[in-house]
Amino acid sequence: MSKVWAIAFNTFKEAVRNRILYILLIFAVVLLLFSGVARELTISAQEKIIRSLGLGCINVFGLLIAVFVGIGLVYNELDKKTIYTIISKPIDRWQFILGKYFGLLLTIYVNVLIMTIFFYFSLYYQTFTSDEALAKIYASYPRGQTPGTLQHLGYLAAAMVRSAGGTIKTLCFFPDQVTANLQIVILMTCLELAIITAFAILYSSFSTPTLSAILTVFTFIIGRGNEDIIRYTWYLERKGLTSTAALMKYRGAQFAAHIAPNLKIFYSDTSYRALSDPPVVVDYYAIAYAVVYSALILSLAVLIFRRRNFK
Amino acid sequence: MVRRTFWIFVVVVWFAVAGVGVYWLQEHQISDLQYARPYRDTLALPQIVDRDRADSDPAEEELPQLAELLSVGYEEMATSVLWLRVIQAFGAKLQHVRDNPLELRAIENFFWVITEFDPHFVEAYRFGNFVLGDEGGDQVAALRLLDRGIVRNYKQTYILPYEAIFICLNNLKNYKLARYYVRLALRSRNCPDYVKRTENYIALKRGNYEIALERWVRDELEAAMNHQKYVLEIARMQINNIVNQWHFSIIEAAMDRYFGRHEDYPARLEQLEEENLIGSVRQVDGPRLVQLLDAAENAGIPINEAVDVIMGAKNRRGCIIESNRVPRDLRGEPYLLLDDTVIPLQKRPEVVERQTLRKNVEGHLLAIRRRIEGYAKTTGRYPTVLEELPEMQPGAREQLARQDVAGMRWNYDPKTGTIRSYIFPEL
Repeated sequence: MSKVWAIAFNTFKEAVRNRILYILLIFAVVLLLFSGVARELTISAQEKIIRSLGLGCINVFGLLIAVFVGIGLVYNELDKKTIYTIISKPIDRWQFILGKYFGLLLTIYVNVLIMTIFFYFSLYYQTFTSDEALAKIYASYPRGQTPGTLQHLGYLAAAMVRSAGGTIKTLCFFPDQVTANLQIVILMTCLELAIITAFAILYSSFSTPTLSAILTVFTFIIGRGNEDIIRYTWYLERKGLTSTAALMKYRGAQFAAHIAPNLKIFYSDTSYRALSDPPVVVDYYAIAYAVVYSALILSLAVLIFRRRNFK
Repeated sequence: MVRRTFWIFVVVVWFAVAGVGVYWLQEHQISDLQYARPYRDTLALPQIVDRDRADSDPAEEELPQLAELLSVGYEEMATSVLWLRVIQAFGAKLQHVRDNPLELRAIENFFWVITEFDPHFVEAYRFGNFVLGDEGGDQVAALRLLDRGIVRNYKQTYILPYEAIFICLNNLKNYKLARYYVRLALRSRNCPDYVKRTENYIALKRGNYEIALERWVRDELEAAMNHQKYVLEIARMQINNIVNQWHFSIIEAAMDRYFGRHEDYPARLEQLEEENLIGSVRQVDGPRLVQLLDAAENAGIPINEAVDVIMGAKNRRGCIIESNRVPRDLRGEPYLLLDDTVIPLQKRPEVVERQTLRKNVEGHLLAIRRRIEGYAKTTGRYPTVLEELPEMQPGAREQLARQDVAGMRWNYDPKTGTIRSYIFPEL
């Protein structure tokens, strides 16, 4: 297993040198901070806006990193012929694939962590500088007096320090009212990204980066719409399976729904609940699903990669 | 060879086990699916819901559900973006929404899509109600959106049925439907007390004066028992209001009968009694109601029993009496006819409570007395007649009342500068 970790660590080091990663990360952080500005544009439900935009950003940019960094990982090794130096060593191909997978996953999770830090910080900062919080400050001054510019800046600086403290506290698994439920939603995002990364590695093991990117994105879309494939079969059933073509469509759709990943289980309930009061519990079914499905896809990737001829 | 076969066997078994595992998990997930989506006319997505189409049924609009499908699972994010967008759209099109129904339909579409993405986004229903109903003037569309929210948040929030009550009460005048929404609101979690009291207003609006009175009497006694100062104040005000409205309806009906007989309305309310036009009707004995309420509040008897006593249930002598006399207000004072020369002929004069008139006259007298004092200071004498005051002259910028609310001239003494009202000489 140490060989897998060695490859994973090298993959991580290689990935963090990728400029696309930084562009995506900067863009994500800017968008996360912008979600605070969105607060000013809404008339109510400020917290919901900040939370949903923040969680959405983490998910979208996690996906983009998985796609754009993952698709080239295996292909680049083949293209630059560096694969020869690796396979000439006592490393099996499955170890290589697993190493690449875990390396990429580590890269994605580190990025998700960075985005999460900014997200939590933004969330806390918005809370500490909300209209209600500022109204309390103003109320503490004698009638007719307001804080001066320096006092106001001092208050904003204090809000930043408190936001940093709140962020650290939440990251140490002590969430409070501001960040309640969010950790589980982000955990679900990580599980979803694990499956998407497995697919990126699978496609990368036999095709070009462009094709891999297209296939990964399509897999993601199909995965998110998996339940609608089933609903489509219901529609076909209602219409009547009288002709052979209809029956084939029906069977094909059913088969597709059963083999395509069902990514809806990672966000359907949790993300909505994260924005409301009821506490979100960890869905162990989703964890089991992500682990087994990723393992299956990686096995397929290993199988294909083992049969590849590098000459 | 054996080793290779073994490994092939292991791989096959792994794929079989993992495949079956995934299949089982997928099957488990699929079996939980709840509802179907419409897939009709997917390519013919309407840009704006065409409500004028004969076969259009808003409950079956496909656009919101298809939009949800196209959001690829980013419903929450899409909700926020569309929410921001609809606020801006409303701000930009505020001037046009009433004039251009298509703009309103487009905004309505937005709300339907937003609430499809997040069915529990209560603010979206509320804002939608404001935009479509209050600003757009389409109360039916607003109620439709609220209905959607009520169904999707059943028992979760009282706010949506509460907003629907106001549409039914104030705009649609559909009191039966309003009552239905009150019931829905009361079933919700954390429904505050004041929602229950909207039923009292509905009873009043429907003309069920006795029911409305009984409800407010109960609320007053409850408020007194629980020391709810503001509710007590509101209940007292409402009881006064109900008694007045009830009695006005009796008097107005009698005045109409008088008009049928004389082709003119009476100059005094006593004329109705003289001609026995009131008939034997149920009315409130105001002073007795006040007395019974005070007694019940101080005695601390059970509320149900107190209400029975006050309303005269079980053959008790309550505050409701059957009489053919002109009803009086809560203080036992007679009502007055408001004389307004602006009222065209053949229009029934307005009946007013004596107390209201007194306050009105008091206000007028105060203003005129101040002006007389001002006049005396500048000229050194009191005006000979009130018309000497500039504000009493026709066309003056700030007019003072030239007669009291009952249409009588003021009782003015130019020697002492005192001014009084004939109907309220004590003021």
